[in-house]
Amino acid sequence: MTSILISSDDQQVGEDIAHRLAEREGYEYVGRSLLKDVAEKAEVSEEKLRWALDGTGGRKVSKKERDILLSYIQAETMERLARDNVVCADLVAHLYVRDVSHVLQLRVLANPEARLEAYAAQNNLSRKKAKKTLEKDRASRVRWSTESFGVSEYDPAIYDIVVQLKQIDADKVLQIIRDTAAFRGFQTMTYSRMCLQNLLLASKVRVALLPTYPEIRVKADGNRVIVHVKCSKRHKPQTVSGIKELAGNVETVGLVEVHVVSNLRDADVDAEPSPITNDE
Amino acid sequence: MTVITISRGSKSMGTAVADQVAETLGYECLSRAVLLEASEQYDIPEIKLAKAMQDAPSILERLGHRKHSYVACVQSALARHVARDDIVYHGYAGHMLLKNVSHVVKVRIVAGMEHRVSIVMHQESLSEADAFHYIQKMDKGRQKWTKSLYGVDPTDVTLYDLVLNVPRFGMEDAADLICRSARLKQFASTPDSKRDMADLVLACEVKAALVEEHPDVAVTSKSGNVLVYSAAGDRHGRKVRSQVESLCQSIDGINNIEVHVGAAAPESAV
Repeated sequence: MTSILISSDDQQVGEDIAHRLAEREGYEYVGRSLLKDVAEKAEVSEEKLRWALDGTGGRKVSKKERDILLSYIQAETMERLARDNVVCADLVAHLYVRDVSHVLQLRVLANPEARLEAYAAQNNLSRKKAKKTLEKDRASRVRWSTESFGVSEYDPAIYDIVVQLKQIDADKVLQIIRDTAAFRGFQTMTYSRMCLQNLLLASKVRVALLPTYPEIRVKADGNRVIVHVKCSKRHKPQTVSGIKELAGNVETVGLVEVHVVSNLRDADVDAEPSPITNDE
Repeated sequence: MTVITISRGSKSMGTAVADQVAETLGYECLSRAVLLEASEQYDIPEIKLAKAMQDAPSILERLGHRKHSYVACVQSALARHVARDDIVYHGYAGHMLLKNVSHVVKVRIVAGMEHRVSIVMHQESLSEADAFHYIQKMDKGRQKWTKSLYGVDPTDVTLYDLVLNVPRFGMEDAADLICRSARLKQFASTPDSKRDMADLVLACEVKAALVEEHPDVAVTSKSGNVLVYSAAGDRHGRKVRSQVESLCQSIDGINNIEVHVGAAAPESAV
């Protein structure tokens, strides 16, 4: 059964579509209320989690803290998605759930004219100023999503479908989703379920590692975890052993491979690791 | 009656999808043939029109405005063609050339860079790095073209009703989804939308007649009442007016034609 991630340039629009879809199809709805559970589990403030997610909060949240907060949200969201038949909205799951074939990724764009008018009216702005503000917000979201997850939220290629609510209304969007979810390519398979489990495990390992090792990339393959970490040669031995210990404590983790790199951008996390690991 | 425009990044299976959609719906599939029509109608070599639709204007071309003239001719031929029948158009910038008509479904086909690179590596026998640069170059060229002529980025998804990541669907399912969307009530032609299309045809024809001598003109039409906007000064405006008067005789469908000099053209103008 398909799980569906809904992203939108307008929070209310995305939530509305997601709620209606969940109700119509009998799916579990996963949205912002998740932050309450995350806050309790991680013992952080819900407000900070919202800042991290919205890219707001300014200097109140450092980049390191933001990454940690996002990792908590990511891990909890992945936990819910692993259950199947889930509609998820407003948790930026479309930025970190990649290459899972049974997860349908949809972006819904609000009617631009209606959105502009509503925004101008809400904030008591002229049309020109409202347009400028929305453009600024968009640039900010592109920056935030690229910094936090390495992809731009506005890149259409990260979604399966992008629909604009201009002539196509919300009811028709639900119909499009239903039609698409029925396609063979979006059915759950053993392999796609495994991919989701791998993402879940990797997200849990990130939660365990990020507070101590902020510059990492994590990939899981079954119970094998591969961690790329940026650190100096001098700190390599203790970094490797520290990561192995922390990652090894995460439930279901078997083998931990650690690769020390000078630049995380060069780390090809998808490549098969060489037989010789940095096992020092 | 519906018109479907399919825009695509290079090497993202757009042509194959367009063919499949046309076959499924029983529509005509139109692409470069529109250049032939424009070439015949306006007596301009097809190769010049093709170049105008593919290459971003050079500095000299920007000064000369010839490209705008050629694009206007292609736009006029395209509008006239799609006004006649159910069409799938996957040529140049359909979403820009056929605007403000509600029975035109604007679709964009995308694919991830990895997928596109693998296609280019296979088709052009290039290395991965060369294939990547090849695609980047083509994408950059299209962006430059659209931006220089229309001031928008063609990858901006707000220009489209629907954007599909074709490798995720496969060609047949992608075409199926487009067909289902095209069959939505919202995209069926209505008397109003047919009138809008007729007005678009008229506006494009008037513009094509004027743009070579007056590259700054923009044209709208509402129920055959044509408004020509010229940003130039009064002296130039007189020239536009005198040329416009003769158009009433040579172009069918004009009820009334006015020239507005120095006024900003609305967004809906061609």
